Amino acid sequence: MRQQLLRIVPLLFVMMLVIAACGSSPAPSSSKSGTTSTTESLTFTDATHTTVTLSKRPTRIVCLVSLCEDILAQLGLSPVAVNDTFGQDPHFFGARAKGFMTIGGTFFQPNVEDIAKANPDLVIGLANVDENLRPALQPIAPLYIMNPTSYNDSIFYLKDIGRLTGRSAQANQAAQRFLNKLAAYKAKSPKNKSALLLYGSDVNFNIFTAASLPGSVLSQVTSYPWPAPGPGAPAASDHEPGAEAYSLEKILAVNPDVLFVASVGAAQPLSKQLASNPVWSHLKAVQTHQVYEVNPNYYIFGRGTESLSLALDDAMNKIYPNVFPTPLT
Amino acid sequence: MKTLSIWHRRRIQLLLLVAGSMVLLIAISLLALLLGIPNLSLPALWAIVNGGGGPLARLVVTQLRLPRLVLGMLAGAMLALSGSLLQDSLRNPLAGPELLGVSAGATVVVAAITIFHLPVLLIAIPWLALAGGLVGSSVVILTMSRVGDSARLILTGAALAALLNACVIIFMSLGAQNDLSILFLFLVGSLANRTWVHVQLVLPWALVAIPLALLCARPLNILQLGDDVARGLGLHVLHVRLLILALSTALVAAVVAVCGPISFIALLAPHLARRVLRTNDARLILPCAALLGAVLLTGADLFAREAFAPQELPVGIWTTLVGGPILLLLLRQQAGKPRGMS
Repeated sequence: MRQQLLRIVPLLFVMMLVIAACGSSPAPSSSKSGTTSTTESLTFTDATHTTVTLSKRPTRIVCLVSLCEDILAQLGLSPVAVNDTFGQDPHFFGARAKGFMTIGGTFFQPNVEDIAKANPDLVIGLANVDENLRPALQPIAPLYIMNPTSYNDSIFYLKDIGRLTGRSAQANQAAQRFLNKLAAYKAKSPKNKSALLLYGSDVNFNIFTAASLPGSVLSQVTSYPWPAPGPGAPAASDHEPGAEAYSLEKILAVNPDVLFVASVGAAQPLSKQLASNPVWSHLKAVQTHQVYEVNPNYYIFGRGTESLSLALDDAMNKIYPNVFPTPLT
Repeated sequence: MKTLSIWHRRRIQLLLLVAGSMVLLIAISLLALLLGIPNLSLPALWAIVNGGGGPLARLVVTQLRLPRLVLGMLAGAMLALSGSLLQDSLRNPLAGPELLGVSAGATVVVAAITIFHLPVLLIAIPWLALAGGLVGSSVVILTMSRVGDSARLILTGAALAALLNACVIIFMSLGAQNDLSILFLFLVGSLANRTWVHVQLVLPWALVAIPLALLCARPLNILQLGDDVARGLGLHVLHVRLLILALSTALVAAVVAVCGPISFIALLAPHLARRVLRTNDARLILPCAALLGAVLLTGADLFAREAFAPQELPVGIWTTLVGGPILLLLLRQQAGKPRGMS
C-alpha cells in the first residue's frame, strides 16, 4: 500500500493542482458583480466573491498578473512591483518597467516576502492562481482577484480599478476607445474567413473557444466557429477559462482559413510543426501559409483592453490584409 | 476426477475471457473508426478501406483514428504485460511500472523541455523522453541489483521514482502560465492526435518485448512460489528478477515517451485476468492481461474522445477515474486471502 501511495501522490498532486486551477471562480461581469457602491467608494468585490473595503485610495499596487499592468498603464499609473516582464513592451511602460521592483518566486508561487517589501496597499492577482495567497497577504495588503472570461470582464476590471484609484475618467476613455475600435472592425469586417487561436504543440494543444477572453473578441469580428463545451463538460486542463483540449477531427472538419498559434515549450515554432505534420498539413490555413505565430502577451497573457486592442489590430491585418492594411483607430 | 473438472472449468473460463475480450476489442475498434467528426456508416468505412471515401473522412480514418487505435492496443497490451511481470516477479499485487522510474524519468525530460523551453526539435522529444525513461529505470535497476528481497526492491524503486517525481514537481512550480497546462496533457497520458509516426516509435519495442514477456511465464510461475523455493528449483532469483525488470522497462519506456504515463492499466489488467481465470498461472495470465489491457485502454480512449466531443479529455483521466475504484474493489475482495494475489 505504501508504494501505491507513493505512486499516486505525484499524480494526485498534479490532479489537485489542475482541479484547483480549473475550479474556476466565476468571473465577475459588470452585470453580475456584487459591487453596488458609488464611483467614489473604496469597496470592491472580486472574482472570488470576496468583498473588501480599502482604508484609502490605493497608490502602491503590486501586479501579479499582466492584466493589472495593462490596466494601470491605461490609467496613467505604475505598479510598485510586478512578477513578469510584460510591462516592458513599448505599448505599456517600455524601458521604465525595468525599474519596477520584481516579485520573486514563480507565476504560480509568487514570493510573499517580496510582495511585503513593496509595501503595497493593493495586490492584484489572477483567479485559479493567486487566491490562495489571501491568508498570507492578510497582514500586508488587500488582494483583488481578477478572472476575465470575456472582453466585457476586462472592461469591468479596467473601470473598477479606475474607480478605486480615482481615475474613472481615464478608465472610461480607455474602455470607450476599445469598444469603438471593436465596433469599427466589426462594421468593416467581411466576416467571410474563419480563424482559430491555439497554443501548445501539434500533439498536445489547447484552443481558445468562443467562451475564452481572446475568443470573445475574435468571434465579434470574424467567423470563429469554436463554441464552448456544453453544460456538464468537465473543467479544462488550463487555468485560462475557455481554453480547451479540442478534437483535431473537428478542426479538420471546420478547416479554418487562418490559424493564430502560440508555441509552448519547444524549439521549433508551432507553425513549422504544423507544416511538417501529416495531418495538420492538410488544413487550408497551413497549405496557404496562413499560420501566424502571435505575441502571446497581446493575445493570451495581457487580458486587458489594451492587449486585446493590439491583438485585434494584428489579427484583422492578418485575416483581412486588403481590408485592414493598417490598424483602425 | 476433481482435477479434470477444475481444468475443464478453467478452459471454459479462458475461452470465455478470450472470446469476450476479442468481441469487445472488435466492437471498440469499429466504434473508434466510425465515431467522431465526421461520423461514418459501415459502408462509408468499407469504402475507405477499399481506397475510396471523401478526402476528409479518409484523412481522419487513416491518419488519426486508425493510428490512435493501433497505438491504444499496443500501449494497453504493453502496460498490462509490464504490470503482470512486475506483480508476479516481485510477488506484490500493487507493483507497477512506476516503481521502475520509467514514467518519472520520461516525465522529467518532457517537463524540462516544456517548462524551460529547451531548444529541442519536436520530433526528438519522444526519443529524449525514451532516453529519460531508460536512464531512470537503469538507476532503479542498478540500485536494485544490490538489494536482495522483493520488499526492499519495491521500496527502493518507489523511493527513486518519488525522487524523480519531486524533480517534475519542482519544474512544474517554476512553469509559466500555459506551459503547465500543456505539460498536464502529457502527465495524465493521452492518445489524442497521435499519428503513424508515434506508432512507428512504439512498434519495434512491442515486437521485441511482447514475445519476450510471454516467454517469461515459466520463471514467473517459479518466482511466485517464493525466493527460497525458486532457488531450490535452480533459479537465480536476483538475475531473473533484474532481467524481468529490464523487460518491463522495455515494455513501458516507449509507451510513456509517446503517450505519457497512463495510469492503472498495468495494475488493473493483470488483476482482472486473475480474477476471471481464478488462477495465478502466468502462462494464462500474461496473454489474457495483454488482451484486457488493449481492451481497457482503447475503450477508455474511445470514451475520452467521444464523451464531451469536440472537447478532448486525456485518456489517463478516465483510466484513473475508472481503474482506481475497480482496483480498490478487487483488492478489498482479496483482502481476506492469504497470498493477496487472486
